[in-house]
Amino acid sequence: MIEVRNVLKEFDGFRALDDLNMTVPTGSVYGLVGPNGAGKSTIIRHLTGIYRQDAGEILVDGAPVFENPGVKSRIAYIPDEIFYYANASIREMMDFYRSIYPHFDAERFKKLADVFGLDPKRQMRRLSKGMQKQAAFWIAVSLRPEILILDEPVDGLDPVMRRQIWSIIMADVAENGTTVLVSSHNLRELEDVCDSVGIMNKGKIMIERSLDELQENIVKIQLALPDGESLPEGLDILHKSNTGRLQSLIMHGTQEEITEKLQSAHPLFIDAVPLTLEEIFIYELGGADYEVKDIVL
Amino acid sequence: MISVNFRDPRPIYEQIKDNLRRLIVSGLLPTGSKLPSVREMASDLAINPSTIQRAYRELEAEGYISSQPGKGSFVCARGGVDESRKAELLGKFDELVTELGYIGIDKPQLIDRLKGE
Amino acid sequence: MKSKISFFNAGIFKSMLKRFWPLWTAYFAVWFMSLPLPSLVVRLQGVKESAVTVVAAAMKTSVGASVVSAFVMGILAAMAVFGFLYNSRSCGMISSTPVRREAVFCSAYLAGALPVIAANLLIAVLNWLFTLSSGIEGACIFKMNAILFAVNSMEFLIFFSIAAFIAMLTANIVALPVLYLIFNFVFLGMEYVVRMLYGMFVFGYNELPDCVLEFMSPLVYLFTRISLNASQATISLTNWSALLGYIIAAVVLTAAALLLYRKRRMESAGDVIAVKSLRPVFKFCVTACAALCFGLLFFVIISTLFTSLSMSMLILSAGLIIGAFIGYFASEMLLKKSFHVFKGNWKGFVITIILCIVFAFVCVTDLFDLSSQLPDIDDIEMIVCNREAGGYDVTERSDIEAILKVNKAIIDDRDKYEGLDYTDYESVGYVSLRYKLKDGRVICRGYTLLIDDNYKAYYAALGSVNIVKSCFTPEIPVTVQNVYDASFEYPSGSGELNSISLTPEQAVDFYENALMKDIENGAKKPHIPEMSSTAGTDTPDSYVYIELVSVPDAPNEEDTYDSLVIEIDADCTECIAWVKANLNIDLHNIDG
Repeated sequence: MIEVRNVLKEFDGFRALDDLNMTVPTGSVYGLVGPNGAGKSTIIRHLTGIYRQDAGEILVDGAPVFENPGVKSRIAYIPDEIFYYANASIREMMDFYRSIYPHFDAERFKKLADVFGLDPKRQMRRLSKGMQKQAAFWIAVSLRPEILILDEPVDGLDPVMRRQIWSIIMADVAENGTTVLVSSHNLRELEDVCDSVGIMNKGKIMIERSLDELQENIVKIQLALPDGESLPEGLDILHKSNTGRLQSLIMHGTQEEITEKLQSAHPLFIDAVPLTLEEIFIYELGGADYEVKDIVL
Repeated sequence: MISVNFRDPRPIYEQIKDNLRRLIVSGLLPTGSKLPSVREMASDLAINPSTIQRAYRELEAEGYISSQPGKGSFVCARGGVDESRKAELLGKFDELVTELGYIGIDKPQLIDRLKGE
Repeated sequence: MKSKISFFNAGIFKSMLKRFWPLWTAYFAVWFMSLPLPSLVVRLQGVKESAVTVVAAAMKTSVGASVVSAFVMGILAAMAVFGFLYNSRSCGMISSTPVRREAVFCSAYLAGALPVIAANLLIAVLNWLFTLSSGIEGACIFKMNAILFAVNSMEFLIFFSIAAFIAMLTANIVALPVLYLIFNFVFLGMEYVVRMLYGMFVFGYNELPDCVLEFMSPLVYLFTRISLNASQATISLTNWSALLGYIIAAVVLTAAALLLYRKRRMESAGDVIAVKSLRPVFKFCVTACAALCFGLLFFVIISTLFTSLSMSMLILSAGLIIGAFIGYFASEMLLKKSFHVFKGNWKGFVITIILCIVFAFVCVTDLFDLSSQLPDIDDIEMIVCNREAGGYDVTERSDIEAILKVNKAIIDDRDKYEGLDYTDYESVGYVSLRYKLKDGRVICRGYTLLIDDNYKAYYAALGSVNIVKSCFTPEIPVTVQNVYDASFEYPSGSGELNSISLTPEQAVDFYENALMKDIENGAKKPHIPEMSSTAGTDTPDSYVYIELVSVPDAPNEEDTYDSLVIEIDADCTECIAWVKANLNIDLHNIDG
């Protein structure tokens, strides 16, 4: 389990992480989402032991991450910009990681060669960005990590390779209980693979919930009320728009709850639709700070 | 054998449940046959195993399948489906009948249909 | 979980070693072509005598060149192994590995040092093999190469440690070599600039002593002090203690570098100065150095046009402020990595301007009256006067007192000298004094004077018997054994110079019985150089030349040489008498 408690980080006066609290349960696939500049990459660099926080704790199974080889050896990290030595081939990078990470599984690396379809003798810098990512995944998965941290993982990969990679990761999660933290803007994809979500903005986690909970507690209602009727009190409305008599409301609450509440206004027409993660993201953050244009969905 | 449509507004676990139910009802998954493991399905579909687990759990609660620890999940014999599912399906049936009536298909036509003509 | 902290990681060490193989190989190749290869060629040519001299010469050159090679290789190796810190990708990658920072640092350090030391060892071994039995004794050859290896490796470690330390202060790959160069020369350079500024404004300070801070530039310090004495049988290095001193400093710097690395914030990748608390220090240093350098430059260029005090003050202030402006905002641009630094930084700059003006004021007006400061007679061990013109060593207390008195008199007449335009006068005198104190310090004064009472008093003081005697007392004593050549030269009637050879016995006799007597009688006083041309007589002087050699006891040490030139002028009665008595030449009666 990854626990982040009251973490503060400032860069020359700018608060990148502002009393951040986050919990990633063991064996979960946690999606970290947020607008650009929210601090996602920053907290990820803390989780991987690159940065040291100014205040607060960052623990993996109760042990701090920073300068802790015991913890770090169980974490595999794939950054948004893949690192490689200037003239290194895939094999050479593999050898490097193998010499440093104690749990590296060379057999697995060999077995996965067909899956990834890359020639280990090729130089990393001659590969396209997508293929570099594939190579990075290949090596990371062979590390047999307990925790996999992915920063914008599947950008630049073709759909086939994307699916391959997620397939491997999901198998790992199912079989070994690997914990996965994914930071991404591609919410449609995250929706399929994540079971927990953390929505981050301005250095804080605004909302952190299991995906099911998140999706069950927000609903889109298409509603037509008769003349003279108005919406009942006590509704937590995030967004409202209308075309003529038909109102479109985004509200907190379960489908059953809301539908029941709205019955008191004797609607002519009512339809409840679940929201996609993308929509949840837009509407939850669509409050004061984050400018979101009115999206007609 | 199972496919998931990402554009479908229904939650994935529901799609999986519906898919499996259809297979079971149509006989393509006969009684006693073993369903794919959670791991297999998560890997094949590239979706979170807990989603698969939820689908399996709910199907088991509804009575379509049963899980044996260490062995896997198997299709149950016909007729063991629970009451809430029955109620749900009947509710949907009523809705369909209402709409069919609206477009001019009346009850006698429906009865004939049920009889198998 | 292991409880002991590991300081080494084989994975990181090996990867750095492998990646930079071109650097280690190039280093080896350059050395190979400079030393062992020529030795081999000489050996194959097979001539015995020349082989000895060639080998010895080659070894000497190598030891001399080793400082420069170490200086260059030190920074290159540091840039290679610590380069990962300067790019956020590589920095992040290494920092996320399960390797503690101590292990990363030590592995990197070793990956930079061991290949160079190994290359040095290989070069020494190859050279030893190639120079074996080329006419020099085997033990000698071995010692020579062992010394070369030790010197090369120690020097490399010194510079590599400096570079490693600097590497921890910065986070920018371009800044690293720049800061390294600056660090190696700035102390010496700035001391020089400050002394020059002093010299311009403070009366008597324009004589430059050796810079005290020379030791802060190991390249300069070692280059002038380390050399190999290689002759037939003995080999030795001139100065092990300097090397050992620097090695201790290198150990301290390496430890400091490790501590800095442990505290390092990896988000600093790309910044010019990685350590936050050092940024104001950097800004201050750049501003101060730029102000002083530009102030000096500006003043030197412009001041020839003006001489008044207030103008000097203005010019110096202007120069300092311009320099400070450049330094202040340039350093701010480097720190912020942007050109837009002019807003909001003016408060600090205003303070800087005020400091510049204050400094200029202090300098120009000699606020602390530094020009009057002279050492106490009890602190003085000796004075070296007019070093450039041959030099007079003043060691006796009475003589020292006399010189001090002259110095004080000059200072009292300061106003007279400062207001002069020396171009109005045909001849001027220069007094240069280096006070060597008992505690090792050296204080220098230099004054340009007219040919006035002070100047004459100076030369009168220099005429004391002790001083003159010491001028004519060479390092090698004048004995029959040590004289290997002596001659007497005198002008003939036609103006040509005739030369008569003297035997060692004659030379010694002349020295002890004629010269010394003249000195004791006060006949050999130093002439005021600027006045000697006014001498009425056209009689050119005659000279006695004595060449001395000192042959050391050990058969393979080098001989040392010295010589004496004794001018015989009209006042040297004893000398003239000796010449008449021993050589039958009457110097008074030479046809003129």
